[in-house]
Amino acid sequence: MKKSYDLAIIGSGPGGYVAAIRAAQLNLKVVVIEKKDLGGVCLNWGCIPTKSLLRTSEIYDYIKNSSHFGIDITQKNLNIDKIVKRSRDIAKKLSSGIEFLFKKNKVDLVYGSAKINKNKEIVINNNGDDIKNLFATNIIIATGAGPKKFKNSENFEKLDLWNYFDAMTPIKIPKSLGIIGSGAIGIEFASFYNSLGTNVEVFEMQSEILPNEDYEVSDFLRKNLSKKGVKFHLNASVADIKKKDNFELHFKNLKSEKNKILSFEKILVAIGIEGNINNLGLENTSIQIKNNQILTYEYGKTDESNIYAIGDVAGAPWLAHKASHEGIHCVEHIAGLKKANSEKLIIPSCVYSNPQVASIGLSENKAKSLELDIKVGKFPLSANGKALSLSESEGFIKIIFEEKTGQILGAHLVGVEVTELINSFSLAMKLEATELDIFSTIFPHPTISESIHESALDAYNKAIHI
Amino acid sequence: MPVAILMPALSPTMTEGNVAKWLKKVGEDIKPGDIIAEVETDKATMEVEAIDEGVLAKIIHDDGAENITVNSLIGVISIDGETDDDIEEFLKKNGKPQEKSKEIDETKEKKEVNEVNIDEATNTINNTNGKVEDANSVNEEFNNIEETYDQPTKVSISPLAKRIATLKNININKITGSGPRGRIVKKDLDSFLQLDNKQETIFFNKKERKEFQTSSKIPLTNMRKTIAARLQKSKQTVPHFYLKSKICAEEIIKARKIINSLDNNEKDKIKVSYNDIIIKAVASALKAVPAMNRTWNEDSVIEYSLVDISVAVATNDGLFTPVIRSACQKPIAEISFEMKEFIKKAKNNKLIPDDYSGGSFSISNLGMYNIHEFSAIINPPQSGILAVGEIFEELRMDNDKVLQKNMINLVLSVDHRVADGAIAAVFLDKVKFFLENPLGMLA
Repeated sequence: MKKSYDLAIIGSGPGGYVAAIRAAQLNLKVVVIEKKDLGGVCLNWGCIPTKSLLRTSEIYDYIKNSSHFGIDITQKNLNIDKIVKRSRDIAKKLSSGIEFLFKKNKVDLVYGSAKINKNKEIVINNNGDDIKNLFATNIIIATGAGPKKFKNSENFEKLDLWNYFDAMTPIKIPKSLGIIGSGAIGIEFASFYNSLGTNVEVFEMQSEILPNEDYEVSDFLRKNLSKKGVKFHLNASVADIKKKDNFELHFKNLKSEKNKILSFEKILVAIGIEGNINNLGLENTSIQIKNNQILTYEYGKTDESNIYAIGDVAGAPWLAHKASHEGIHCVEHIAGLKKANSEKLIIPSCVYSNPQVASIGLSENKAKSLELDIKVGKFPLSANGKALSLSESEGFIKIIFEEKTGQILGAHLVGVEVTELINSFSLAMKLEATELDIFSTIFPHPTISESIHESALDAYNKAIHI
Repeated sequence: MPVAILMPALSPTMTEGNVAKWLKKVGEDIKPGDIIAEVETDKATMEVEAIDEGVLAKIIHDDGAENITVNSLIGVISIDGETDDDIEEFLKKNGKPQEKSKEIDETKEKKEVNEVNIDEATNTINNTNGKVEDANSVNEEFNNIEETYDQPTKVSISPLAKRIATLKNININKITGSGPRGRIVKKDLDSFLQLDNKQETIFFNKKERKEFQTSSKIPLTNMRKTIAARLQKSKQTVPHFYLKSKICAEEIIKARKIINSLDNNEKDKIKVSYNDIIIKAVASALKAVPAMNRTWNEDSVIEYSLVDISVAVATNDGLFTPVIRSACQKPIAEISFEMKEFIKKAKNNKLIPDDYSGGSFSISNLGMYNIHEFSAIINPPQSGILAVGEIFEELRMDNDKVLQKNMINLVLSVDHRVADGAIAAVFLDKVKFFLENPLGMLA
């Protein structure tokens, strides 16, 4: 059987499914091929279920601090099965939501693994029993990424180390957890498990956690989480892991050159992710691969005409919203809607630890390294009435302007619900607002968002409340 | 209070419209949402919908009325059962329709200033949804954003792009916006500037140019104003003609050496310049050709017995022309001394009007700037000006031998009203004679 489509999308994550719906809106005949879970990692194993877990730890933190709010709660028990089930249920609900959206928009969905053959047809194999070919004028590869493994991982593979799939579906809460890597995934799980009572230690090879964030944010978060009990080992290179009763983690401090061994009940490997590029038949195309990612150009074009790649498989930053944006862009190009584009994306990023981190644009150091003349404003949440009334006054908002033009170069937030505040900066930057526009914007009182106003004012020494 | 029914703007560029048809008669009840009338332009027809409840009290422009200015009154609705007199009063108060629309336009313009959108069209207003509104709400609620975006006369620009354009002196009218609905964004300015850079690269082979053209306004000094006015008048009203001559400078070089070798004490040491010698030669020539020692006096020409020569002196602030009085009678050393004093005074802005008024003829020397030859503008009412170039070497035939000689180019500008070509030629030849035979100046 051979079917023909305007567009076939391999993968139904936030890149693929969004692209598919947009394509359907534009009257393209579109099919999505999904190997496993509709919605991809984001819905099933990433963004959404982790946020569900983190909500539990957040509430647990509130309960632990309940007496501070004038409520005495003595009995508090964690039920890990329920915690995980809630997270899985939410993922499932969203996943079926996509099924509904596909039906509504007349997007065809085929389960199975997809492989592009020499004729540029897609061969779909659903567990070997149902093989079918389909042809599409255009193909979007949106296969996402999976957890990155250690280079010398062969020794480790048998060890039953955790990756984020495992960390998301624990059977019991481990007493101790070593986390290798302090990116968003490592930090979120550190925050989660620390809150549930696990002894968490984080190993980071670089000299600071969340190395991509502004140094002040990373420094603040590290100190904050340390206060809550998370131990950080910076400049730490993992040399070996041995399994005895517990896991023995051998690591070397790259600065002091000292070797150390620590023992953990579980070890989570969170050293990043890499593109899912295997078994797609890319060797049958002229697509170029670099560092386990598909090399792409504008609109997700690859070296093979009419084959595009979007989202994680096309490289960093590995963010769902970036994948969705690229998907829409790519589809609109395929549909002939967009002619020229050299748009530089301004992509916000969020870390849902407690406190949260959100950022967009250039960090202070990055801006300085580009030899830009900058003005930096900073406002602590401890001077914000709403944050104080929430008893969540830890954190700050930092904003970086280019001095001459007033262009917002970047914003760096740490504190309660700052992931809900960063969009103000996304909009302001996209609309090319200057400091004057923020000055003259009215922020509602009492809200944490007032700190945005104050941080901008502070850059020009005009802050009212500090 | 009665409510005005105004000619709505069917598009932001619409200025006039026609009443196609009234769907309500005078005296008929009107409920909100009722269609009162149909208005049309050459492009579209639109229904005028009622917002208020009342009675159609008056129709000002009947069916088929054409070319009615947007926002002028086409009818009146009475709301509270006003009498005819009330309506008439209302009509009087609301004045002539055209005044009203002008007033609205002004308000609009004021508002525009505060917005990012710069609207160059004196376009219109309100009522784009075809609803009848009273004049006050019309004032406040114009600008259907969706529609105005599409206007090609509008420059839509982001705040940042606007700031950069101002900083870099970029004319935003030259830029095509790539943002939503043609909004100019930073990227557009970047590529505009890059384009500029690329064009420069072709000519200068410079990879990067960070300097952009800027301009600043320099107010005119009084001196500049005077120079501008005088010379413009001269060039426009004085009929210039030009005579060129080349003289051999060997003799004045010799003469200068001799004069400057005179053994005075250190304080009074004589050091004359070529220019001083040229002043003396011109003075001698003017003495010999009195027809050139004249000034233009509109109904007459004035001839002088003595020779006063203006000499152009350039300073940072502008041009001075101090006058060497009776130059024909003064020894070169004295001329030289006076010139040095004048130059000093000119540079310190110390010249007094007595120093530079009068004179029947001017000398301008750009030899020190290595100018080969040039022609100068006459300083009215003088008869002419001699433009002196640099001393340059040339091979000349001299008694069957090729010899290297120092030469100077002279260009004489003459006011044809004062002197004709032949007289001027005789004069220039005399100048040449005195410069090539300095002993003649002793006569």
